[in-house]
Amino acid sequence: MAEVQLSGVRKRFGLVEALRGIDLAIPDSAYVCLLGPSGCGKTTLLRCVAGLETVDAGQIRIGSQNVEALEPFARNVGLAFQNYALYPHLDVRGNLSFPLRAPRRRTEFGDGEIEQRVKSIATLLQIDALLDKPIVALSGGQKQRVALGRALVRNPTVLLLDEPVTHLDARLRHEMRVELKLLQRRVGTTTIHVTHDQLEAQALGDLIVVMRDGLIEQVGTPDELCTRPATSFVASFVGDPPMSLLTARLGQEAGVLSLRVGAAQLRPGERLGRLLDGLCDQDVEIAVPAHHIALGHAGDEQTIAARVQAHEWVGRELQIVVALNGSPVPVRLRTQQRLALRIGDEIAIRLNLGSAHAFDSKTGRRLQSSAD
Amino acid sequence: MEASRTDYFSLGEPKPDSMKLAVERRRATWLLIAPAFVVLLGLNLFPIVYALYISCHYWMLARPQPPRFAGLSNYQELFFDARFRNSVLVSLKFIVLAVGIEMLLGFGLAFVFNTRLRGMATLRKLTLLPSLVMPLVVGLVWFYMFNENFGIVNWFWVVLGGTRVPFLTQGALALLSIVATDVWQWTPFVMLVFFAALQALPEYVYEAARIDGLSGSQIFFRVTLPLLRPAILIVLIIRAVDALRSLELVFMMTKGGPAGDTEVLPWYLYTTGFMSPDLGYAAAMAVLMLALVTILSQLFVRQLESREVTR
Repeated sequence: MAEVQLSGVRKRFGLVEALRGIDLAIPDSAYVCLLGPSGCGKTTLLRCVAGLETVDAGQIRIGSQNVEALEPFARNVGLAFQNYALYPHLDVRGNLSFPLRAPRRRTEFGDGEIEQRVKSIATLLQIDALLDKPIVALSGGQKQRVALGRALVRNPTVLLLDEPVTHLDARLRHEMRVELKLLQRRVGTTTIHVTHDQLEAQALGDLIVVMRDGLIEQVGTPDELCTRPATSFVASFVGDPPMSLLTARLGQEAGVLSLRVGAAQLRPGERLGRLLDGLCDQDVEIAVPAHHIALGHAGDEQTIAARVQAHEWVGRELQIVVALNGSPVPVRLRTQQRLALRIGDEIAIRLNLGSAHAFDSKTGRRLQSSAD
Repeated sequence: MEASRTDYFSLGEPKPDSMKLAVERRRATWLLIAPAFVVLLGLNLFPIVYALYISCHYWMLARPQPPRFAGLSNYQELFFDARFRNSVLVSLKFIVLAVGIEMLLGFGLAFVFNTRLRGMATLRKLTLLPSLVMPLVVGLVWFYMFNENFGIVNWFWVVLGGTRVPFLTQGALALLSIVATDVWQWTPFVMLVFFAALQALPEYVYEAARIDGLSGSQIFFRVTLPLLRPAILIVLIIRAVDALRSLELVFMMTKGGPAGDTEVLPWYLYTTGFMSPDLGYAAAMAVLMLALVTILSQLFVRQLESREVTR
């Protein structure tokens, strides 16, 4: 168990800069999720920590040790691969004991101790009945458990999970999610979990690291990401559904601030108004949570005309995706009304900007007042 | 029709109708595979049974008498035939040497070709050429190349300062020359199979092994080799059985000489059956050879099927 510290980590593959300077401190025993879209560098970062990739620049510390020059084995990390990466020619017991029997460790463990460790890890993961089965005879969920067991069996300082539940079916994914969390609580190993599924990240992570294009956008608790997104990207990526982004031009009408979105004029309200003060005639990005967008009547205040792009049932609610005039980014809202909508219908949506977030349209950074 | 009343969707007790349906279905199954079965029977089983039949007869083609039943006397004679024993021994020597060298060379070459160096793909295609040539032609070409007086191998040897070597006319050398020719022709095939197997090995297992702390040689012996086992066994079966049956090189290069030193089993069989021509005796030999091939391949197949679990 140890904390993990990354500073200035860079990695380039040919012309592609996968990591462009990562600074991250992971506290001891934390469960951290690296979250981001495909190609954001999250898996590369994990592989750099594991030692499967060497870093071009920067430092990686596990505990008090600089590990960026060490080979994977010497870093004492456990890695569960996305596709399990079990040894197909061995049975479950063989796979679990393999890390302990690696000849460089021969001196460390006797046969009796290996057997005992394999047994206890198998019991922990509820695969003790499968110990003598060949890998090919296992189901996806069972393989996942064996992969986890192999990663945990030698008490790694850091547990690395690369999309560990992605290949499981939905129900099993939910079960494994809960188990992963419980398991980590029990063993207390610092865990880094890579995922592109923000629900998974929110369910599991003590901390979530949102990544994009090889950079960290925000590090925060699941709650912080939703209530105080640091960038417009985080606002539009995290949440179910994520917030809707509007590009608005700030104007002044008879001394009162107004936001022009397409043809509509919106009043920013007191809180937002304070943030936007002094940005007159500039573009800003406004992120509005889905439950603050409702269906409205054309011509009302704070209402914008929109066109239905798609609609689908999500649980008991109807999710409607609409396009605004002149805005390329779709807006999502949910309603419990039972509506007969067709794609292309003209509707009006009413925005409540009371808890909206504002971002600089150029940098994407959050605008915040000193009191915020 | 009664069958038309069968209620396919009814639940509960199976009805007599459904029993009838099952019988009908089985009959249809047999009818459908019957043609293939008959063809298979005619092409595979008949020649074997006929060979067994001939092997129990005294049948000299050069004489006017019809075949005469001889019981197991052909086999009995084979048992005491020193020339037969010699040919089995020569065959085994040939198989062990040729296939052994082919496996080692092919395995090594596969690893070389598996590296991502520029030009490897072209080189790989070129190395495959020998296995595309007819074995008879290969035998002819190497017969000339190994010739003591005007062969190119000896020419190089002399240029390098040696004296002429009777490659094809001196005991052990003759067999080694044939082995070399077989190696030249079949190593590329072995290489190709191993190369394909290497390409199919999952990258991520190697990463797991690195994290688990294995060094390069340990990865080779504890991960690569076990994963290549099926490929190794399959190549072994194919090459061993093929080498046991192969006749062309001996036919073109030495005709079994000198003094039977290269008289492999197929060559002895061929001369007995078509030169003597003692069909009954040759058939008995063929049956024994078939038994040998079957035992050999069964040994390998059993190895292949046993899912060995290493710890």
